Amino acid sequence: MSNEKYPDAMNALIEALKSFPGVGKRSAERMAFAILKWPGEKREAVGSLISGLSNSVVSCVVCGNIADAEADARCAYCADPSRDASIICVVEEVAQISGIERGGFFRGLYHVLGGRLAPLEGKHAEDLNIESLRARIADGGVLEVILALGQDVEGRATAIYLADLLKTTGVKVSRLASGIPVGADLSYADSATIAAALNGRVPLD
Amino acid sequence: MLKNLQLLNYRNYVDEKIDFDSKTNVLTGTNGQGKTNILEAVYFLSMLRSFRTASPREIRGIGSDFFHVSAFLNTSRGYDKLLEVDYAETRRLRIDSSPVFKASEFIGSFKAVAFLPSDLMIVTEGAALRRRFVNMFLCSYDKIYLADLNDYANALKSRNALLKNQNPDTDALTAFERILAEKAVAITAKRAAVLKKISEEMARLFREIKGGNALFNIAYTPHPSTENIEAHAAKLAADRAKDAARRSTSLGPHLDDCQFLLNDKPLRAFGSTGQCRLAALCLKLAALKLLGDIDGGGAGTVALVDDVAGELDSETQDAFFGIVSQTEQSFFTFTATPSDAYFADAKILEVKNGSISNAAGAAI
Repeated sequence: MSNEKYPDAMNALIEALKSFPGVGKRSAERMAFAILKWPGEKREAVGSLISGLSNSVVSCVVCGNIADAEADARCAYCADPSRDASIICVVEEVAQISGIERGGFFRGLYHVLGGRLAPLEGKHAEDLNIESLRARIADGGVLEVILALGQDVEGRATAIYLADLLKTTGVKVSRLASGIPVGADLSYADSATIAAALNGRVPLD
Repeated sequence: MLKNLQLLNYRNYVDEKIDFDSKTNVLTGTNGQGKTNILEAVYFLSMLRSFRTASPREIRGIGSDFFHVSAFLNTSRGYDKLLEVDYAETRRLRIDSSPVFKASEFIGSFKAVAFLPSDLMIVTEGAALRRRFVNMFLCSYDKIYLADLNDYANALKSRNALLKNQNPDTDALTAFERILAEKAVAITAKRAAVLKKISEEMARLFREIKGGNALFNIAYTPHPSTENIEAHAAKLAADRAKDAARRSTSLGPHLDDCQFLLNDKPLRAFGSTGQCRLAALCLKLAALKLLGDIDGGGAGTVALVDDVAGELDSETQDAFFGIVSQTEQSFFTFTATPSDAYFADAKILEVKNGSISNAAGAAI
């Protein structure tokens, strides 16, 4: 359906850029034209940053977060001795860690599952970073696991799965509260959110 | 009350804007002119579903790749609300020009009940049609029901997908079955409560229409018969081998049914066509009455009557108009202008081949 006649290389670049989340054809075109205007050195530099990623960034051997490539690679949190190693916060994806860190409240360590149980997408327990979580707990020193997973069916099923799995370890397992966003007006919350908030209400004493 | 209706590429309407200024509206015209399409469009704005097709793509006019329905809704609180639905590749919903992302937040801005010739099938045909009726009704009756239903469907598909594996992951099954059981119990409880209310209302209507000795009730046979989440989850776990062989989950509200009983006999098997037709009509009237009771006095309800009102006997007609007149607004289709006194003050709209005009001499 394309009306534009671009050189093949441009079309290929636009196609590739379209695979970014939230980027459609128009945005991909704008990005491709911006790249075209860059001086050659910048294109080289950015290109090698991208192509070097597979060698420069690896998974943290402990938690699955991203880490600098080196022997026994640990991420910034696992390598930080001031973090509280007795609390592990389990997230689905690496990108979710920065959200929790922005809060500045959590001082424990993380564990990245790399997804959630989603049989409809062919994602099963063996595809997730679960064994290493078990190993971390078996090593001792962990007192609490916080499951910071999504509130949809798959996220909740994964939380139930992990809670059952960790039952025998004696570690305290909790999940994030769900409901009204902090600072938000109750009048603008949708009904399912209000129901979740009512179910998870906390006594004032 | 709807003040107008705008349609773009909606079935045989290319670009049509209709103003409504009356509580009772009558669409007249010969068959195939597009009377029912108007009712369908009003229903779509209320429920985001058609009463004729499960696939909204079919609604698009021939040769177009989208359709649009919008209306100004005058709320009972006196201000107007603009409801808009655009259906192209994806669905876009707006209320007062602000995007709405959750269907459940759009559904039920007004509460439409459609009276259709095919309603008879709810009484006489298989359980799926009765479940569909109950689901649609509950979606406008209870805002959280739709979320429960979607979660249930998702967990059900996930469980079935897990069971397809040669060696299913039993721990993952346990996790999804737990959610399935939780939602099953919630859905079943809501269905039981609402069917009890509908049953009582229908029984009252039957007595009113057929005299004191007509004993009507709905028998609901829920599929977890238990209200206990753990017990239902345990049953699901016990059924795994059987369900894996069947390739589907054999227990749960997706298989529910209810029976319409007249004098303790199921209408489906023993009822005359006339009795079944009356039951179907009373079912929709009961739904309309219950939706009208939410805010009291029929507030926010719209009755859409397609070719149904013409053939009722006088007792039935009295009961019918008695409830329909309580609604905020009603739309009727007729092939000719009805002579019944009920329509004396109605606005008559003539439908001809996808366009609409005010009939001459009608009270406007």
